[in-house]
Order: sequence, then C-alpha cells, then structure tokens
Amino acid sequence: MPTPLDDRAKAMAELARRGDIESLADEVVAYAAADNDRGRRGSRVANALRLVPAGRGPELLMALLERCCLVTDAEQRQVINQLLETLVKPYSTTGTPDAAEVALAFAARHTAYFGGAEQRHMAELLLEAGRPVPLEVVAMMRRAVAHGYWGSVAALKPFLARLDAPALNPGEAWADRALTDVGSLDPAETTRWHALFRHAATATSAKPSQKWETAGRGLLDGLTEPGDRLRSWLTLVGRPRTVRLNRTQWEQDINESLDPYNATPLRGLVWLASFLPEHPETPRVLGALVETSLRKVAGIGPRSPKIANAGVYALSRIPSENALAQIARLAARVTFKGTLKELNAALDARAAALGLSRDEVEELAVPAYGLTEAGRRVEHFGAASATLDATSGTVTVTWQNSAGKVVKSVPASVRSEHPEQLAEFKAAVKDVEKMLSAQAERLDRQFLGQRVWQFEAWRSRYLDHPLVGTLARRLIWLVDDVPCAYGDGVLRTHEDKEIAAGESVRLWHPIGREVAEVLAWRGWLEDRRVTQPFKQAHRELYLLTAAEENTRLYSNRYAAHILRQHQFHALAAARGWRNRLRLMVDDEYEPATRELPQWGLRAEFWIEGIGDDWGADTTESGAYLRLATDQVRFYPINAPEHYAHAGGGGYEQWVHQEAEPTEPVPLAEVPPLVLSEVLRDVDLFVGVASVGNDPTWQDGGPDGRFREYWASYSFGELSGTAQTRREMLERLVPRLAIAERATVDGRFLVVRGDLRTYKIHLGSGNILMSPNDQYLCIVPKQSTGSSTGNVFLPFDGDRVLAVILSKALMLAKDTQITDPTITQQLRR
Amino acid sequence: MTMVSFVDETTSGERSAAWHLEIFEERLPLREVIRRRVFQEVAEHNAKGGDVFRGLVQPTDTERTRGGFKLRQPRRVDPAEQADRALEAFSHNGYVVLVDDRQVEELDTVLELSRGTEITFLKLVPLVGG
Repeated sequence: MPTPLDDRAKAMAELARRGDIESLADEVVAYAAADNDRGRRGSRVANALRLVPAGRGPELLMALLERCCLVTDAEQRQVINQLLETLVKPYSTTGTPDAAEVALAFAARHTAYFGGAEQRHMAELLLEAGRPVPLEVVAMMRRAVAHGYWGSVAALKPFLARLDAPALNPGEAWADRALTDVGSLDPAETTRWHALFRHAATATSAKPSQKWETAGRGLLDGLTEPGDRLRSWLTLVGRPRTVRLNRTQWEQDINESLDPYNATPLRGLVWLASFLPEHPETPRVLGALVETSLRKVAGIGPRSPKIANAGVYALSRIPSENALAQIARLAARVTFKGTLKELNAALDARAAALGLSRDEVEELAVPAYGLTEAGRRVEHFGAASATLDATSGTVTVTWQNSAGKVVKSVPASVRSEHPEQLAEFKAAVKDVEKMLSAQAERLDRQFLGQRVWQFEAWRSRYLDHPLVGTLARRLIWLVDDVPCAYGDGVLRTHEDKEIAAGESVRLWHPIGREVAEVLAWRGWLEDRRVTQPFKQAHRELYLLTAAEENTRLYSNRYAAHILRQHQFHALAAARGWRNRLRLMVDDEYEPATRELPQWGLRAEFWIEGIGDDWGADTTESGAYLRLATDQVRFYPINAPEHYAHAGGGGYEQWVHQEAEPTEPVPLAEVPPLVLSEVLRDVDLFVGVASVGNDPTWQDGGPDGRFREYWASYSFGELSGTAQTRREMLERLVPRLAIAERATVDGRFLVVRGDLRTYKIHLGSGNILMSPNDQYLCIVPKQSTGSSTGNVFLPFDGDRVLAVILSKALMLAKDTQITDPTITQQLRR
Repeated sequence: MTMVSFVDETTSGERSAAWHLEIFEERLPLREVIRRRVFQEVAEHNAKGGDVFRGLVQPTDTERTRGGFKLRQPRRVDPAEQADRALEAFSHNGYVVLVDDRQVEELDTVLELSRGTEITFLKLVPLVGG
C-alpha cells in the first residue's frame, strides 16, 4: 500500500524530471511540514531531488534555501536543512571553482557555516581562477570569526586580512545604504570613506583611545558633509535584515538581531559621529539608536548592548543640552542593567563637572523644546503657523495657513517653502511626547526619592518649566507642609486659599494624610477636571496588616501566587527592580530586589521557578515559564546578598563561616511610605502577571496542577486595587439603570438576572452563578479593530472594572443574551 | 439655546476635560444628542487634521493606539458614518450614557436639556462566552 508520503515522493520526482524548480521547492517545504517522523524518509526525497536536470542543481539549492530562511517551525526547518546539506555536499567537495562558488553562496546565507579551512580552500580556488570572493561570503566568514565558531577563526582570520574588501558587511539596511551611498561618490571621496570604515572596524575597545580618536578626526576632516551621511545611516540601524539568513538547528533568529561583525565598525561610526560639530539631530539619532539596540529578541535578549553603550558614550561626549536631555530621558527609560549603569555614570560625571547633585542635573537636563509658557509653542513658517499644545497631558498640533485660518493639515506653502524647518518641528513634537512620558515616570519615582526642593528652584524647574510644568501643574505638592496644587494661575489649597511662596517643596503622597484631606483633593481635582499624569490623589495605600504584625519580619500578602515569569520580569524592570530570568539549570539566583538607597533599605520579593518538565514548564531556551511567589522582606541595603537555587530550596545569605547572617528589618520599622510603595509594586506584579487572570486556566493549566491556586485567586480576598474598585462601584452603580438589581456585597458585585443570580468577583472579574456557585466563563472579545462596537474614551482606566461593569449590564438582562457560548452555560 | 457639557468617564474615576456644545432645542432624543456629539468631534478633527482621531468610536481602517485611533494617513473622517457606528455601538452596550447621573437606556428617550446638563459617556468592554 503506498502511503501519502510515498505519493508525495512520486510527485516530487515528477516535478524534478520536468525541471519545475519553483513548484518542487514548494512541495519539499510542504512535505517537511507534513513529515512526522523527523526526516527519516529524507533519503527518498533526496533521491527524487537528484532527478533534477543536470546544471539546474544550484538553482534548486538556492530556491529551497530561500524558503528555509522563512520557515519558523523548528522541526520543519530541521528536515529542510538536512536535505539542503545533502544537496550542497557535492559542490563543497568537487574542487572546481564553479562548484566552490555554489557552495560558498550557500554558506553565505548563514550566520556562520561549518569548516573554516574548507571555506578558505574554496575561496582560494575562486581567487586562483581570477574570480572575486563575493562580499556576502566575506561577511559570513567575518561573522564566523567574530563568533569564534568551530575553530574557524585560525583558518579564516589570516585569509580575511589578505582580502581587500569593504569593512562593512552587507545584509543590513544601514550598511547596505552606506555602501551604496559611498559607491556613488567620486573615486577619491569613495576611497576616503572606505578608509574611515576601515578605521571604524578597529573600534574593538570599550572606549576610543586618544590615538584612535586623533586618527578618526583626521579621516573625518577629509570628507564633505560626513555628519548628514552618518546620521542617515545610523537611523537605519535595527531594521530587519535585508538579506535573511538561514537558521540551523541550535541557532537563534539572527534576522531580528544585529550582525555580530558589523557591531564593531558600527561602534566606530557611532563614536565618530560624536566627534563632529554639534548638530541638533545627532543626539536624537543616538538616543533612538540606544533604544533600538536594546530591543529584546527571543532567545537572544537585548540586540546589542555593545552598540547601546557606544551610543551612550557618544552622547556623553557631546556637550549640548540636547545630548544631556537624551541621556536623562534614557536613564528614566532603559531597564538593561549594563547600559543603565553607563547612563548613570554619564549623568554623575556631568553633575560633578557642574558641581550639582545628580537629581539637579536630571532636572536641568529637561529641555524646553522651544515651548514658551508652560506647554505651548507657536512656530511661524512665513505667514503660516503651527501651535503645539501639551498642557492637558496629550500633545496636539494645530495649523494655521497664511490667511490665519485653522486648517486640518500642514499648509502646502509650509511643505514647499520650509521643508527643513517643518521636519525639525515635527521631530521636536515627537521629542516633547517622549520627554513628557519619561518625566512622568521620573516624577512617579520621586515618591520614594524623598526629594525636597528649595521653593524658587522648584518653581523654575517644575511649576513654571515650559515642559515639566504641564505635569507639575496637575500634581499636588507640599509647600512648607501645606498641600497645594496649581489652579487658575496660582498655587492654592483645596479650600482655594492662595499660596504665594514658601521655603521647601515636596511631592504630596496620600499616606499619613487625613482621609478628609485625601477626599477633598480628589473632589478638587474632579471639580476642575484635572487628570493627573499618574495616580497621586487616587494612589492605592498598603498599610501593615494584623497578619504582618504577627509574622513581623516578612509579609506573606503576595506569597503562593503563580506568575508568568517573562511578564513579571519585564514589569519588575520597568518599576526599577533588579531581577534575573530563572533558567531550569543548576544555578543560584538572587530574589527580585528593589534598592532604596535614600532609606538605607532594600526590598526583596522571594520567587522561584516552578515545574520540572523541560518544554512544558520552560521556553525553548530553558527559561521557566512560571514562578511561584513567596515572602516580601526588607534588609539593610548593605546586608549580604541572598541566593536560592533556580528551582527553589529557600534563600540563604552567603556569609563567612563565623559570621551571622543579617536579620531582616521588622516590617513595623519600615517607613509606611516605603512599605506602601513597595507592596504596591508587588501587587502590580501579581495582579498583572498571575496566571489567575487567565480564564482559560479554569482547568488548572498543565495537568491541572494549578487548579486550586487559580480558583482561590479568582474568587479570594481582595487586593488593594480591588478595594479601590469597590469604592468606585459603590459610587457608580446607583447611577446606572441596573441599580435595582445590583449590589456590592463583600468581595462581589451581586447582580440579579431573570434566570439566575450572579456574583462577579471584584478582584478578577470572574463570575459565579447561584445557586451552586457554578463558574460562568465570559471574556472580553478580542477585537481586531474592525468591529463597530469599539468605543474610545481618552483614558483606559481600570480594565477589570470596565469588564465587571460590562458583565453586570449584560447579566442583568440575561434573558436577552444571544451569544450561544454564554446561553449554553446559563441553561446547563 | 442651552449649553450642555460632555464628559468621558473612565472606570478608574478619571474624567476627561469636559467639552461643551450649544444646542438650540431644549428637548432632544438621546439618538440626536449622540449624533450631534459625533458630528461635532468629527468636524473638529477634520478642521484640525492630523493622523489621530480622538473620538467616541473607531473609524474604519484605523489602528487603536494609546492616544486615539491612528489613521493610516491623515484624512477626513465621515461624520454620518461615525454617527451610525456610535448608535450601533450604543445598542451593543459599547458604552452607556448618563444624563446628570441617571443612565438613559433607550435611544428614543427624549432628554430635557437645560443649561449645565452634563452628559457622561462611560465605556464598556465587548464580551463573549469562553
């Protein structure tokens, strides 16, 4: 009996005989997807492929390779790669220049390829026959050397040194553009550029030496307009590869990352850009470069910390205010530890040079971007003008044409007569947007920074600062311990008493304030329709509980949750916590840690990897998918570090044999503000990253192991956020048409329908139905953006609360529900 | 003539800056009030230009972003089409409308408008069974 796979092999043989290369390659890829015994029938396919007419073998090889580069499934790729190897083998062993050319062209489409000595031999065959070694091949050999692959370094390095190839690897958008641009210049200029590239390729140290810099400046001097060119290339860094590379079995996807060889000349070019005369665009380009180089790729991590750090170094070399602004912005944004360290060092150095504190430098570093009064900038383009308005939290631009009429888009006269000014203005608008969000994040962190400002300095750097003012004027401050906020042009208390001046200023935090005062401020802000840049008046408070007084040294409030590790990891970094991804390996890890130098404390959140099934409990690269959480503790900041094994087993301090481990700080001695802010972070981690949020986990996830956890998370005690939610609902429900049918009761919003009564949990939004507490699964619709039900309001607010309300309104009229996936559950 | 204010409220208790609309009639069905709101916001968008539409409902061929709905390129938005979408969204519980703290459920309910009437739009989430 012929199997379907036999039929496929026959079909392939037929296509091969006919010489229909494209269809044959498609068929092979389809076969590799269907093959479920991992290529053991590969020999039959290989036999079929041998029937391709003589001379068309290379065509088939490249057609199949082209397709393999696009295959995402690892097993399918492995099957095709095995076939490719049998196809390429004859070319790599024949020993003629023609065959060598084919084999090398094939190898060039990989990050690196086996056998440096063989490759050199083949390349020499080409050279002897008077043919060039293609730059793509050189590029692959360089990557092999850069990577130190398979002993190829010794064979290839001296060979590469003999070739006179351009110093950039093609295949990346920026390098391709650089090579094309430079190739179109007059020959003398082209030569000078290539000399610069060669110099850039020697940027192998962490920072340029004096000698390197002098030589680089000399080379730059010989060029016309080097700045524009360098900037235009640097903006292209981080685009997907222009030539996709094939992945072999254990390789990560380099196509989303950066060429490991090119990183060195690129670093050189980044340094060189900082030697050029100041230009407003340079810091912006470098700032974007740092961000794009730190973008994470699965299995690789940040794409190129090396380039990011070079970008930071270059920014630190540029004396302008714009460069400092980029450093300050990045310092508030970047979470990758190594680069963050460089950024902090750059800020500290600038502070030392100016004789200021680090905080003050960050404040002075915020540029006004041409804004005049707090949050507005009017730009004139001849008789036309544009008004940038950032006062309400979002940035808007309004255009007026030369007749003074408001128009919907950029007036034609501006486009044609002021293109450069327009481009600069548009870039400035983007800068303002980015800087505003970075500053809001920085201010949010000042709660724990314990900053106190001298009034006049605060007034100019915050309240009246053209950019920061748009944030500061929507926050509550303590001027000489009197709470006040900005309204109608002056600072005033919530009783509208004006505050003209003072000595010291601090950021107001609701902890330790009278409840009446907090509510008064909420009312004041609501009356004036002020939207705060981050939660201040409505900030959740986390006070010491009776249980924590009992446990004394640690909080169990967020213990025994199951979190998605990668999501947790990203959140932790964003909130200033130090954490490492836990791999299923024999290694020791510190807990997630937030350092609070101003308080002499560090907070620790104890976590461990969970599960022991490689593949089901880990990613492809071995990182745990899930973490189990344990205690939150506080230690003196210089206490010895704690370590625990990746898979758990408890944290221990590493101290000398005779020394005693340092005791944790009793929770009652942790300042309430610190306790509250740290637990708020942890609540966020658990609230967002918990698998309990995922309704598809009703079955308890893999093997049902987490069922109990899921059930208690979904219907258990309320967190701080859920308490706030409850207050909101108590205010909101009486205003709704369902007021008669809905009441807040304990942890639930209870809704009386006609068919049943429903209890919607205020923490998770999950629903239990009377009389038997049966679970009712309703989830937000994954809108693709095309449905008409998509309503937008300017803030996203609390999504769980929106879900709870939506569910309540739907269930109050349960007889009108038509969605069969819901009605089936109701009538069961 | 009366001046009513529109407020978009979120589920975290934040409210957008209110904006005001002059309405000549003192009695209008809810349907018409929604339509006026949408026409006004589309007119403002079309006058101001830009590639982000910040309005009640999403226009076709746009992408939802933090600051609004991003158009593929700046273009005029069709007010009639937006109004139809807004009414459609209302009937599917896409949002609820509170008039001075009372929810109005029917599009045909006639509202008594007076100076200072506040009309609040509260966003909901489309749901399906799972």
